Amino acid sequence: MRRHKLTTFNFKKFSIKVSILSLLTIAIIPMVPANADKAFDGLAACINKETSTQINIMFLIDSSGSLKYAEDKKSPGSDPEDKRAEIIGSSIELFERINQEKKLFFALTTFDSTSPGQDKNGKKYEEYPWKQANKENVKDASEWSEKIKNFDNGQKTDWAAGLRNAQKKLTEAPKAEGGVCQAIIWFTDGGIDVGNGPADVVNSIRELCGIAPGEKGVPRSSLINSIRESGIHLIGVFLKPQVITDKNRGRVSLFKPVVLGQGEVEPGEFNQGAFNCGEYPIPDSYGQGELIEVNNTDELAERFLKLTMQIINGRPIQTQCQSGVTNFNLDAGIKDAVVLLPSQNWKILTPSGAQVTNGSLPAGWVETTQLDRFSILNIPIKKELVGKWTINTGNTQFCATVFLDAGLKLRIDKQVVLTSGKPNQNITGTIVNSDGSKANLADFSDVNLSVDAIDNTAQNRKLATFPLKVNKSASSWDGLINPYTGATSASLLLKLDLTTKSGVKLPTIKSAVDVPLVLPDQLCILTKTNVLLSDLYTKTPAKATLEIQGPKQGDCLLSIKSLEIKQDPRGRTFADFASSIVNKNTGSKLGIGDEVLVKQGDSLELEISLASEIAAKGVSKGLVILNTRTPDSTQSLDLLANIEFNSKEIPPPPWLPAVLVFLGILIPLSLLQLNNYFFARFRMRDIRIANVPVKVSISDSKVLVSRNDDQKDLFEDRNFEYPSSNTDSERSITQEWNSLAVFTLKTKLPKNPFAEVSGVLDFSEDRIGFANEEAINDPTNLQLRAPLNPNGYWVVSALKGSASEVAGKIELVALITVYLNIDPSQADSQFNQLKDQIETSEESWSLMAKNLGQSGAADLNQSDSGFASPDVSVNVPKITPGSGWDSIDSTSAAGNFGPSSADSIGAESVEKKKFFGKKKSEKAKESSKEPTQAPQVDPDDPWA
Amino acid sequence: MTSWGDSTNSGWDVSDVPTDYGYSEVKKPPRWPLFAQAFLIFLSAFLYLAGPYIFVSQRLAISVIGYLLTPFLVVFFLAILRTKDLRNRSLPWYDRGLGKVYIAWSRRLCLISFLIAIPILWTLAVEIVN
Repeated sequence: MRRHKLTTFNFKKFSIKVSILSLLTIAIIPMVPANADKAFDGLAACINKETSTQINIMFLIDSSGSLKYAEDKKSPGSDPEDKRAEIIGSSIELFERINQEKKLFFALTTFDSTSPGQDKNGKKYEEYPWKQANKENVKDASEWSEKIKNFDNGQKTDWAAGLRNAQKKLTEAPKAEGGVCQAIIWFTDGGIDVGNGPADVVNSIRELCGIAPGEKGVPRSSLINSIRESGIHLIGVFLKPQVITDKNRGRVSLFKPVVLGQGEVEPGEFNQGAFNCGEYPIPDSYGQGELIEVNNTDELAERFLKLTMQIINGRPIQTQCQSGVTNFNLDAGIKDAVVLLPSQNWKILTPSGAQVTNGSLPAGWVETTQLDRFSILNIPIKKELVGKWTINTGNTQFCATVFLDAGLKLRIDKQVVLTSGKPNQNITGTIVNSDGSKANLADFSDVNLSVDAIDNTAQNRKLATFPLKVNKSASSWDGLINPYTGATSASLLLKLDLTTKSGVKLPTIKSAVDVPLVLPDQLCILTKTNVLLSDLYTKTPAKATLEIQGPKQGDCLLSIKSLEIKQDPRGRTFADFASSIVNKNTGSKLGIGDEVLVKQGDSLELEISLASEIAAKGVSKGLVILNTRTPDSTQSLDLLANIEFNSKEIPPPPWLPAVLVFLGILIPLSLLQLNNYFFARFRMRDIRIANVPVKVSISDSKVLVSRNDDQKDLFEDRNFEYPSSNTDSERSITQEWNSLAVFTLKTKLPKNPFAEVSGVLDFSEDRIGFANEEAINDPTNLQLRAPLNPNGYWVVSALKGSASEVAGKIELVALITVYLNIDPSQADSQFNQLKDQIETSEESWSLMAKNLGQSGAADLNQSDSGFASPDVSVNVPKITPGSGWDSIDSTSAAGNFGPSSADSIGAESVEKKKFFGKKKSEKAKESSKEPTQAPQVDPDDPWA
Repeated sequence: MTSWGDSTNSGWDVSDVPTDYGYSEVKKPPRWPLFAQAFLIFLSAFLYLAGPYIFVSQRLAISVIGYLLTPFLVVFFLAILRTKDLRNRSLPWYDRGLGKVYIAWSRRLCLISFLIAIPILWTLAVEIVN
């Protein structure tokens, strides 16, 4: 038993992965060439298959607006003249020829933002229903195709929507009696475009391919895989956009991997480099992809016509072409020739010397299609036409394309039955004409036949080729092959290469064959090949029982060869699962390679269990490969069980996300608040403090501030003192003057962690004042805002009752406290600006003077001028918080120049708002008009 | 606005500063914490959306990393920006207005990071249960 544990997270590995992903956007990864003509070969092989009775071809046509207009909505788009309508109509006409051999049904739909596409008004475009490609229907479809001209108004180019609808339509096709060959001819002119951003495109790519560029792991179930798995061949016809910009380069380059399975994603919105869309290499038993890229509508016409011819006749032969003249040999053994002529003025010189032109077609020659400058000529080859041919296209730039058909088919003898697990088994068959008669191989100089054994199980083993011997005279063949085991039939692909006597190599004739595979009686038998496991949860493994029957003859040995995960919703590989296999008969565990003996007639039950610690949601598919052999090892065989299980996530209990979200948000918020708490300190480093007593005279709103001593200037360097060392980062600072507290600066922690921490200023009880910060809107306390870094902050304070009115002038004494980080080279400038700011705050001075009131004639010449002596402060009447600063008893406040108490409360409240700043609502109104960065008064900018 | 007058700055990218403040250079608040925050938000969103497909077996680790990026680290850069702004306010030639604008933007980015944290935490819950 293998047990794989979840790998632990490795940060180094993680970083490397992230770095590599980033580097990938600039790295150049070489483009991996895709296999050419795989879809044509696959389709031709299917058509030539004896058991196939019907061909269903779905046209999926782009109807996005880019066909009409380029990205700028003015320049012409990729097909402004709507040539595609005629091109599609003409190629449908060619289907009639295939229909003569096998029933061919076709239908047509469009796609842009939806499928069928829709115009700007949301009206869906008409779809052409399934019809058989007989003469009438082909003509009708050709006429109907004119409508395609109007199908070019779609807003987006949603590839997934188009392919989904095409796949659905193919399931609705008329039912066939035998096998069905299916193909989608997908025409588009630009990159994938599904939404507004790359994320939408990535999701769409994930839906299409099961994985997006840059992602790792097993692909999830995907639309493209499901299309290929159904055997639908995808022929992508890409009309390159006129302009490929940096924006759409990446999107355009995605077309190739979607069609072919692998391609290089170019730089742009996605991870650049090789990208596999769906399972790659595409299993040989699946539908294949074909990419046709054209630059303009002229090339489109040519390639579309060739495309149809290629489905019928295979690749064109190699010809000699010079200056518009094409030479080639037609030998005996060739039944039909089809010539694609690229001009209307052509001339053909036959071996008999006859000259054939457009207007003089010999009997039996048919010009089936005409499209612009192109026409297709069908020529039945008779004896007189064998020899050298010359075609002059009438235009030196163009050459004729010649398709030759020997009209031979490969048949396998009906009695051939293969035994599973047995090497070197003989197969036999014949080579016949299209009418079933024996082929004459004597006309060919070289006849080579080989057979490919195709793995039609999910193991996707490589194609194995075996040469076969051809008996030319008997037109028969035989050879030894080793068919792949694991299925009920062996899928084989017969390939016939013919060379005519003059050395012309004809395109390989391919024919798919299914031969029944019989299980030998000596080996164990797997009862059920498709096993559904129980649902997988991270704590509950997915389980199922495999039933194995003992052999009909003798005993057999059985072992587990390997387990594989082919599809997973999370991209988990087998390494991400812990697997165990238990022999239910004995209860013992079985490891990879351990053998169990199963006796004749007995049965063995193996319980398979898959667990994963990686949670996922969706369906996973995988394989269990068992090996059975006879005890003497003479016979051995691989048995294959397809397993499928549903991965489910356990939903978390409702409380867990709630708790996690609560804690997850609360913890960082708490940290932010903790940060605020530590942050809430006054930063006093390099700041000096000056306490300057001043005399102030206010008249006619003019304020004259002068010092109360002999110093000439209001501020000088010597006035500024360094604070005591313990005030470097304090939560509270009390400013004193003459040993009495003037005001206190305190920090204030906000309730909202996102809000800014600020400081507040509280005046001592007997003082009022103002500062160059706005007031905090607090109805009970008179508080001013203070910056945490008080550099440039100044505060004016005065004792209550210290103002007096003399001859119309208000005079008062006050104390100015300034915090400043003095730049010695600019000190004078700083002082002058400070003085200007203080003196120009007339309104604040006036209001303070009013609010101060008058307690008697103030002695403006007293030694501690302007500062309250203890006596003065005692005489000041107390003010209750409910009353205004002016609501001191008017009788005691003789000479009070303020308004009466009743008036003053109302007036004061208005004035206070002006003085101490604006209320929040007013601020909000104004701030919306102000520039974000430079408000008139920056509350946090003391210099403002 | 600088310490010595109004700055003409009206947004993030305007850096022309009048030269008549008396200082030849104006100290601006650092931008890198904002860029770091924006980068972390994009990285976290990328990990949330594409991480499970790239690091198939490490969805729990991706959720934890995503949560550490948003909001933890984003908040950390807000704290850095605030600290630097406060320190720079000691300088007379510091552009305080721009500092406030940056802090406001930083707060918005923090808010976005908290919003992103919700789906990340949901994924974390699913991963814990599974």
